[in-house]
Amino acid sequence: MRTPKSIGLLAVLLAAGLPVLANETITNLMSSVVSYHYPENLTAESLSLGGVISPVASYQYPENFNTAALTSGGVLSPVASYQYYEWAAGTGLGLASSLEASYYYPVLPVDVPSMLQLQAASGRVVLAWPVSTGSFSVQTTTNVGDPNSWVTLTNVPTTVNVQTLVTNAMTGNLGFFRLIPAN
Amino acid sequence: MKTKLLSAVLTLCLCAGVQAQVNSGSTGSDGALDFSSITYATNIVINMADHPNGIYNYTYVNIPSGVTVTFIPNSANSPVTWLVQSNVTISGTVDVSGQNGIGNGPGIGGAGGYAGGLGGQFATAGQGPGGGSASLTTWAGSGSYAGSYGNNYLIPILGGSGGGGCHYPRQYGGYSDYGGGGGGGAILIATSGLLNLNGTINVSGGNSYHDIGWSDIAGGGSGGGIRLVTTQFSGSGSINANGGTRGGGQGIIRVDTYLNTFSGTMSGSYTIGSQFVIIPVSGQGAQLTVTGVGGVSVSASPTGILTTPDAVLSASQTNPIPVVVSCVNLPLNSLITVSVKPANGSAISATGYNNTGTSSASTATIPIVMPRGGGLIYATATVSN
Repeated sequence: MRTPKSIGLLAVLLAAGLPVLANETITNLMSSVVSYHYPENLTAESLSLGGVISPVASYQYPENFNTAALTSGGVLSPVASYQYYEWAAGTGLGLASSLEASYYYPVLPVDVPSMLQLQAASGRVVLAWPVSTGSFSVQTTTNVGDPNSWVTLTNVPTTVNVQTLVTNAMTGNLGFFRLIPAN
Repeated sequence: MKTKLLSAVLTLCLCAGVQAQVNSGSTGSDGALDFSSITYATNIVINMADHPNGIYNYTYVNIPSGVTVTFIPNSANSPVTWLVQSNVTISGTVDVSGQNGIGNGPGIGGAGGYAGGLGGQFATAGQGPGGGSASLTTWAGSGSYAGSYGNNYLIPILGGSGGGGCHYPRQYGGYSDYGGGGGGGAILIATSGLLNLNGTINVSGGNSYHDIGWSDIAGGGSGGGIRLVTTQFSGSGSINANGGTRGGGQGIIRVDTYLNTFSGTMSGSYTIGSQFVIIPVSGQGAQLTVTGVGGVSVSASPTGILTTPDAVLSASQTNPIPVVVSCVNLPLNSLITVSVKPANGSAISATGYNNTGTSSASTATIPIVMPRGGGLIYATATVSN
């Protein structure tokens, strides 16, 4: 690496008693930093749906519900400053039962723990989430395409072990639910 | 007489040898960064949007006393790189520090640095390889850099990491929801001329937020990185790569020069030496590159930004995930460590060897149990002398 000129300079600096520093080689290598996104693998089993609702195959993985795909259809309400899961259960899509799971990152692609679980049986929908995650309100709509149609349920939550439960009657053949932080 | 003769020869050699000793590689295409006509205290803001790789090619740099230069990061959050053909004189301030947390909002990192974490019930960890952990029950983690990641040569040059956010219950009800401080940024100044610093270069981390009268629970950002490359480094100014309060770790300072007469202060983890590779090019020295993750190819110039991942894996892919590290000029069967820092959670690592190829070009494929969600990956190796 050194040129004849630099060697000459070094010699003169050394002769002059100046604190010349020796050339070095790098000994501890590091690569550039790479960012990755490795989404949760959400399946019907992971949702603890008890086999009541059959998953739609193409909807099993959250990358099918990325933000761009959903927002391009105007489906989702504006991104908030927090993240949450949103589940929907119903009998749409011409199937006896179906499951849709949307999962998106409003701010950062952070790892979000499984929070909201849904079980549908005997004309009721039971929503459950861990008590430890904080205080939430449940909102529902039958038209997820209208961001102004969400209505907050007034059903009184109950606590069973470490889960907060809200039970709601299943009306019609389609319903969407979500959690939002309680005020 | 002999001393006088040596001094004269030294002066001549310094003048004649400047171009030969350190070649910054500057094309001079950005002209001079010269604020010498400004005679009053003022803040100059450089918007890096028009320099997507953060590299500036100046003819010379002159920042007089009273002038502070700050930066708006570009979309790739590149470090600041000043390649300079002639002398660099800094009597004012070059500020690439991280910002303080504001309420429950995170402090933004300086250019090349990483942001702090959000406060609130969905508190997040600070970003970056040394990002501090979020907390709902205790003190949040602080950002770290020196001794945590990177190397003392600052190749590659990286910024500091953010402190974690918090959601901490208060004694009489309510919560302390505070954002973490941003990590200090990163700046490389390489000049073919001389570098005189009587002012300040600051890449300190941002402070965490806390309400007056309440404890400081969130984490401070770590200091960032400063690398100066010059034939002769002089002056009596200051170089700051301190961590922000609360608890931010030190940043890294590196000076590469043949002759150091600098008498000022350096706050941070610093080394002074003579390693004149400025920005490694293909085949120059030993290099590591993460080129594949789970079968997904990674760009040769990854951004390391979480919101625009360099590698998007399929959710259905099962762990462990193979990480491919390409090695240049590294002896075969060298020990290579792959580290993964999830956006929320503790860092993990796995080791392997570059056992495919030759010493001039080899690869290591290292399986690692990758945390779900988003995060950062990098590889390290040690070269024996």
